[in-house]
Amino acid sequence: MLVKLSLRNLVFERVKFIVGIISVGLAIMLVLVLLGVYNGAIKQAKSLPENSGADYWIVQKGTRDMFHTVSILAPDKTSDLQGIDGVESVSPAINAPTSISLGGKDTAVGIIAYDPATNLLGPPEITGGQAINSGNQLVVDESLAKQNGLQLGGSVEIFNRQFSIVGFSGGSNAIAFRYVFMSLNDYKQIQSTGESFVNYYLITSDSPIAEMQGEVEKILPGSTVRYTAEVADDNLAVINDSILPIIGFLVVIGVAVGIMIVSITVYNTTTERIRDYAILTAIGAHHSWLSKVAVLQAFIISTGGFGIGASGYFILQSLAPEALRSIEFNLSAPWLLAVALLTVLMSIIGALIPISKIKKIDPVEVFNA
Amino acid sequence: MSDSTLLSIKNILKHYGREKTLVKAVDGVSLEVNRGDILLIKGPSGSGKTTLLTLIGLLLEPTSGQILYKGTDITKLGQAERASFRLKKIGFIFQSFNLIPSLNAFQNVTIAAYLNKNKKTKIVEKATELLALLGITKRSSHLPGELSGGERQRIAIARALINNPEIILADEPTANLDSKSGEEVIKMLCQIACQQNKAVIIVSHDDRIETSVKQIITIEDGKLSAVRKGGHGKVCQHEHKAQKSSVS
Repeated sequence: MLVKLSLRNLVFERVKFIVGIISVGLAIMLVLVLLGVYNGAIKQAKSLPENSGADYWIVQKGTRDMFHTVSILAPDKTSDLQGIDGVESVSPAINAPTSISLGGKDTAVGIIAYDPATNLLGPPEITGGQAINSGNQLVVDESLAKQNGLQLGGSVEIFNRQFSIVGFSGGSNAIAFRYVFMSLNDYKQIQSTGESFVNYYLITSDSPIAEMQGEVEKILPGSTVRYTAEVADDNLAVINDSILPIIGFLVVIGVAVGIMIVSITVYNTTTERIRDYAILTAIGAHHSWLSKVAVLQAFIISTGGFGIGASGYFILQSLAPEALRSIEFNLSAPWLLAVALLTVLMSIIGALIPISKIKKIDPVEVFNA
Repeated sequence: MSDSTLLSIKNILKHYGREKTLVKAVDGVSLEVNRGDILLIKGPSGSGKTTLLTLIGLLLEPTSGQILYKGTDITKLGQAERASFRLKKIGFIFQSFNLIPSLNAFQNVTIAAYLNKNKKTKIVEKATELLALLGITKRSSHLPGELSGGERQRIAIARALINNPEIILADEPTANLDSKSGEEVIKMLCQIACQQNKAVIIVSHDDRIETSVKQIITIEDGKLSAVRKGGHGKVCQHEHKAQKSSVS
């Protein structure tokens, strides 16, 4: 009867109920989208280092992330580094933010020049075509390719040199930069200064970092060895420092809006049905039972809103690769569960004001005709 | 106080305000109500009759005085205990029916039993029996808005009876009904009092009710001004043994 009364009270004013539930759904969708974008941004920020295939990165001291700090290291130290005990493979790499002309307009990209033989810091995932296996070949981030209508076999001019697109890469969209991949040899040729420096040396090794640090510094003074995970975390820190506060603030607003809508809808329903509550009080209903009706109504609205919000989110997520190509949505089950729990909390908070109204009901009012 | 005495109301007062703004809504009323009694409380508007009914129904706390139920003072009960008392011992019938508009007739009847945590099978059985008794079985799936005034009041009576209370409190039960429906409702209430040995207290302006009740109590300015016998017996076909209803 509790469920029946709660539901019937809500749907008695069908339009209000539908508007209320959709409003809550939109607020929850906003929260889910923001969390999805944030998690997507985390994934994007960490993708390149985490998929680099390296255990350690040798970088110039003071270098933190791949976006904001530049590491300048001497070239041609590969064989020296290879000689350190425990080092299995070494590969230099370039990370060069630049602008290239795509479809007639300048587009900001990051060029990753790597050694296709080791594939360290190569494309994280080939989603179309193939990896680089000879000169003048390019693997392009798939979202960049889709946005600019780039096709496999098509050509792109970089620094007055034509490159043929041989593959598309996933996991290479780092929000601020979408990457194109070329071989180190090609990069040396397009740079007018020749190979005067590299940004990183990537190493695979089972040795502890402490054992390598001294040897590396002898070969590359002013450098340091970092775990791949450290580089990934510092990339993430850039995202956290820049967009997390904004997203966090918007999530709080989304939740607050959701709570307000739940509260207003249940409060309106309670106010409209205040005489019903007074009748039930008069015939012997306890306040606790009536409060349960308010909580259940809030829960029904919140749960319905969650259903609408989650459906809307997943529809948007499926459309996002086409509609919002530079944004990646990523919402794992624990996050979804967290929002579901937040929805329950929302319904409890949303029911508080209606409950206070119920507590003030005077059952004697029902004797007024 | 005899064994058949259900309620003993002793010098009950309900005052609002203070000094110059003091309103004596009920001012020292005492009466006893026995099983099978049908009491009509009459009086002009604002005389305090509905206030007295709400005091008896434990919806208002008296300023002073006692209401004894089988010898126990129920005015001292806490809010939750008062609610439980109303649910189990009192059936309310209101002038404007006071059905829940979003629930159908059957659900309106059963809600009081669900609140009382009765077993579902028993609730359905009892509600079906009451709807049949009151001749509204066919209307059980209708919302209150789809029912006539008489039908709504029958649903309200069924709701009042679903927990088998000992006391029925009816506030102007015929005021919103045509004369035929009003007569039928009073007839039902009197039959319930007689056959089920319940105490029925009716507040009404309707003079026609006088012929159906055992006792008529008149209240003026919150005080009990007259007590006389009604024409009880014309409606009740099964007379109970005489039950005393004394009024002081």
